[in-house]
Order: sequence, then C-alpha cells, then structure tokens
Amino acid sequence: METIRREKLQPMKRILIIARKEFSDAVISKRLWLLIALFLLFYVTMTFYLSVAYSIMSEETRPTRITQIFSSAGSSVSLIAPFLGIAFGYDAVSRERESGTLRILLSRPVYREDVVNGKIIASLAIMGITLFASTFLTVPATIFLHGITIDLDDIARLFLFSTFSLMFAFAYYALSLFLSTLLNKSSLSLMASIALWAFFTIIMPIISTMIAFMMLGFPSFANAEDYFKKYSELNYMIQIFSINNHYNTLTGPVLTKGSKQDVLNLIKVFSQYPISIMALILYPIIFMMLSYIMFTRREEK
Amino acid sequence: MSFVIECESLVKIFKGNPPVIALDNVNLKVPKGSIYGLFGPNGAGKSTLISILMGLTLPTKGSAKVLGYDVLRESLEIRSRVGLLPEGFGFYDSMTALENLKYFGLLDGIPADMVKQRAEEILEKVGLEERANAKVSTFSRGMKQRLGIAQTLLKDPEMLIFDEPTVGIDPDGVMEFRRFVQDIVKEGKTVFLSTHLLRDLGMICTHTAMIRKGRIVAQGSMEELTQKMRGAKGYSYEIRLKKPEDVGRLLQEVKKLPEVMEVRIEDEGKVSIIGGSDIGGELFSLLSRGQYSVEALVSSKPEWEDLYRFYSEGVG
Repeated sequence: METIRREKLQPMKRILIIARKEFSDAVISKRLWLLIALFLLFYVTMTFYLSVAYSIMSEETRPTRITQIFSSAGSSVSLIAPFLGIAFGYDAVSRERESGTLRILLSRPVYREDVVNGKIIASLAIMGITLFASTFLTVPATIFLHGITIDLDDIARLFLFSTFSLMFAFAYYALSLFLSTLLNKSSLSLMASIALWAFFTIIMPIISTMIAFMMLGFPSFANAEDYFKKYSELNYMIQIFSINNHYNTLTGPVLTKGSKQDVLNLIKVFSQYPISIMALILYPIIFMMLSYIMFTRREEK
Repeated sequence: MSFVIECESLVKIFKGNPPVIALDNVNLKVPKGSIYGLFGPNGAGKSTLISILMGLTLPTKGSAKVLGYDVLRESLEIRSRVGLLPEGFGFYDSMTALENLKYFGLLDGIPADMVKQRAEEILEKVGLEERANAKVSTFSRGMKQRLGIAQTLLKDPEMLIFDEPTVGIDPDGVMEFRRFVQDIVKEGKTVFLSTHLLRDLGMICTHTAMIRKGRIVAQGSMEELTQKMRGAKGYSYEIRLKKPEDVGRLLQEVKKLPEVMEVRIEDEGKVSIIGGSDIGGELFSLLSRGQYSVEALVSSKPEWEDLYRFYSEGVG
C-alpha cells in the first residue's frame, strides 16, 4: 500500500476538528431547533402577553424602555436557559461511550482533553448563537408591538443580559458535562441534571424562604424596609451555592434603569456583585475541571 | 527477530469490592509481520490488554511497548501508527460512511485536501464505495465491520489491532475477513487480533497466545504449541482397516512398537494409537510389512479447541 502523507496535528487543530464536527452535529440536531423554537415561542408569548397587560395600564405607568420589558423576561429565562446547557451537556461523553464511538475516537492520536475541549467550544458557540439570536430577534417585534424607543444603552444592557444568560446556561452545561463523564448512561445523566436544576430552581428557594422566615420571624409594618433588607441578605447567603440565585442577582440591576440618564456602568455592576460575577465564572470552571479529571482518569475498558 | 509488541510482567487490577485482576503478570512478544491471535473466553482479559496497548487504560504494574513506544509515555505515537477496530464497531450513525471516515482521517492527521480522496479509496478497498453517502444507521453488521476495517486503514498503519472482529458476522463475512487479514500482512503490516471464536480465526494465525483469567497460558506458533502439547499428551494416530477381522493382529503388532503409549479399538476396523514421539513412519512400515488392507492412516492434528483445553488445564 502506498504511504499516506500525514501531519502531526497541533493541539488547537485537533480541538477545532472535534469542535467543527460537534457544531455540525448540533446544527442538524432536532434538539437545537426544538430549543430555538422554545425560546422564540417564549419571547413571542411574553411580548404578546405584555402588550395586552400594558394596554390596560395608564400612559404614566406603561414601560417606555425595552429593558423594562425584558426585565419581566429575566426570571423566565432563568428557568429555560439551564435546559439549553443540559440539552448539550447531558450526553456529550456518555453517548459516545454508549455507542462505542469513544473507543474509536480515542484510538486516534488525540488526547482526552482535546475531545472535551472540542465539545465545550462547539456547545458554547451553539448556546451563544441560540441565546443572542433569540434575544435580538425579539427586539424588532417588541419595538413594533409596544412602540418604544431603543438606544445604545438598551442594546448594551441586552447584550450584557444575554452574556449573563449564556454564562448561566454554560454553568448548567458544565454541570451536565461532568455528570456525562461520571455516569455511563445518558438517561441517568439527564435525570441527575434535571434533578439538580429542580433543586436549584424550585427546592432551594423554598428552603431558603423557610429558613429566612424561621430566623427572622414574620415582618411587621413598622420595620418592613429593614426586615426585607435583612431577608434579602439572608436569602442570598443561604443560596450562595445556587447559580440561579447569582444569575437573578446580576440580571435584575442590568435590566433595571433608574432614569433616562442612568447609563449602564459595568464597573458598578461588577463591583456591586463581585460574588455573583465570580460564581458565574467559577461554576463552569469548577465543573469543567471535574469533567477533565473524571474523563482523563477514567478507564475506558 | 524484531517485535512490535513487548509486554513485561503486565498487571491490571480494576478497583472494586473485591478488586478484579484483569491481567496477571502478562509477558507477550508479538513478532513483526505476524498474524498474532490472542485467544481466550469472554472476560479473560483480551480487551483490557488491547486497551492498555492503545493507551486507553493504564497498567497497574509492569511495562508494555508497541512499535518501540512506551504505552505510558508515548501513547500518542502509538495511536498515530496503529489502527484499532474495537469490539462493536461504534460509528456516528447520523453521519454517512464517508463523513465518518473523513472525520477520523482528519484526526489521524491526513491533510484536509487529501482526506476525501483517501476515504473514498479505502471505501473502495473494503467494497463500500456504493454506500459511501449512506448513513451508517442503515448499515448491516457486516457492512459496519467493513467500515470498521476501513477506519483502521485510513492512516496506513504499521500494525492493526482487531478486538473480537468476527462476533456476529456471517460465515461469508468471516471468510472475507480472513482473506483481508492475509492480504494486509503481505503488505508488511502486523495484525494482532483477539477472539474467543477459535475456529473462525485460528487457521490464519502464524502466532498465538492463549489467555485465561488474565494469565497467558501458552504462546508461540501453532506448530510449537502442537509440538508442546504432543510432548505432554502424545502423538495421536488413527488407522482404519478395510478388513475388521485384522484389527486384533494389528493391535498386537502395534503394542510391540517402541514409544507406543496407548492403543485401543475405537469401533469396527478402527484403531487409535498414542505415541510418545512421532511414530508415523514406524506405523506406515508395519502396515506395509503386515500386508494390511488399509483404508486410512491419519495423524490427527489437534484442533484449536484441543490446544486451548490442554493449555487451560489447571488455570482457575
């Protein structure tokens, strides 16, 4: 047989080959289009709902800025965005293990880190496109329906909101990726990911509220402001390990504009909520590290 | 003689309660250019050994080299020179055969401008050129096996490792596989294959090792293993006479021959003999001298199963 010309691939090239394949797979996958449809449906429904709600408001109370409208969406995105991460992470490694492709893949001259990195890059790109596209595709519809104005500050705020949403979705991706490297079956990984989502999204806020009430007692009208300040601080502390809590903490002020002159100040946002910023950055890093450790140390029998 | 695989005191213990000893002090030398068969039942440690050789699993103790590269420190070099067909032939079902091969080819380091042509050449070589653009999900097991072989050939490897390559393959597929292996060795490559289906692949192997409960119980060429077994168990012969009434006379004469360990009448006109050495010549002379009417004199060659049974005795 003739000798085939082959080149020794640099790590980045190996990663990009894997990322390109993963990206192509994701683009033609039904799950991506289902999620995009879900996001668009959510935004369209929200816009329609708000247009009905605002029609009964007086001129003075009606929102005039797009960020006010999106702030209503913030809490709902915190419910949906994790699914984007889970959808691409839960079977990233376990599916390859189940179908037997992992052994063929790892029998090539690639490192296991390359496989994980390739998958992460592709998923990050896909999640980014999905989140940014669905957010910014909704803007014209919102402007048209509510007849509101939009300026550069609004765009910057929406951009930062989408960035935080992406980081939030990515945190759930890293968590599911870790579970996918840890567990042999994709079904188990999916169940565990959803269970964790339910814990952070539904159970933890309930537990946190209960603890806060138990510790502070019921509020009285006399010291309501002081009470709710303490309540918020306590709630934040109890939910310090909840990524949902940090996402909600950050998106609130980004989408809230005090006055027309109030311009988005990144330094203010970052200095006011350093723990939440760090959490959004560290959460995915920690789970990515755990995924690397688990995947590289795991024996593929 | 140069060796492409050298394992020294290789041990693999999987943690657990209790721990599982998958490989127990394995010493193995695979000559270059050979078809080396690793035979053993399911769970004997064959796939674990292959995983270690490819750098997919780390050994607990001992050392192993493939093509002169250490499995611990230079697994990337090994994987760029060795083609592996794992058990089960896993492919991306939603991709076509050509897309699968292009992807693996790129990872093997074949330049992007050449990879399509190379993938098409290989698909033609394994007879899948007409199915190049069909999704793998539509492939039969036999076709997946051929595609599996194709992916091992992409990088033009120096050595090919096949893990249970004929499981679930029909007889035609098995014959085709045997032909393929024999052809590939003619190109100067080494083939290392593992199987529990001794009948399927035993006949093409130039060298073998038998593994049971993680221990190599025998290794060498078929000839060496047969000789060794005969040294211990004797040489078997079978004589069939056309006149059954001559059997008694033959029995008495054979007993007088030196090195005869056992003689017995199997059924009418058939005598079975075990000699301590090769007494084929003596038996032939005796039959000629005695003017027997002989239907057949057969020196029975042990089957692979006989060899495996013989060498596995006392293990576990």
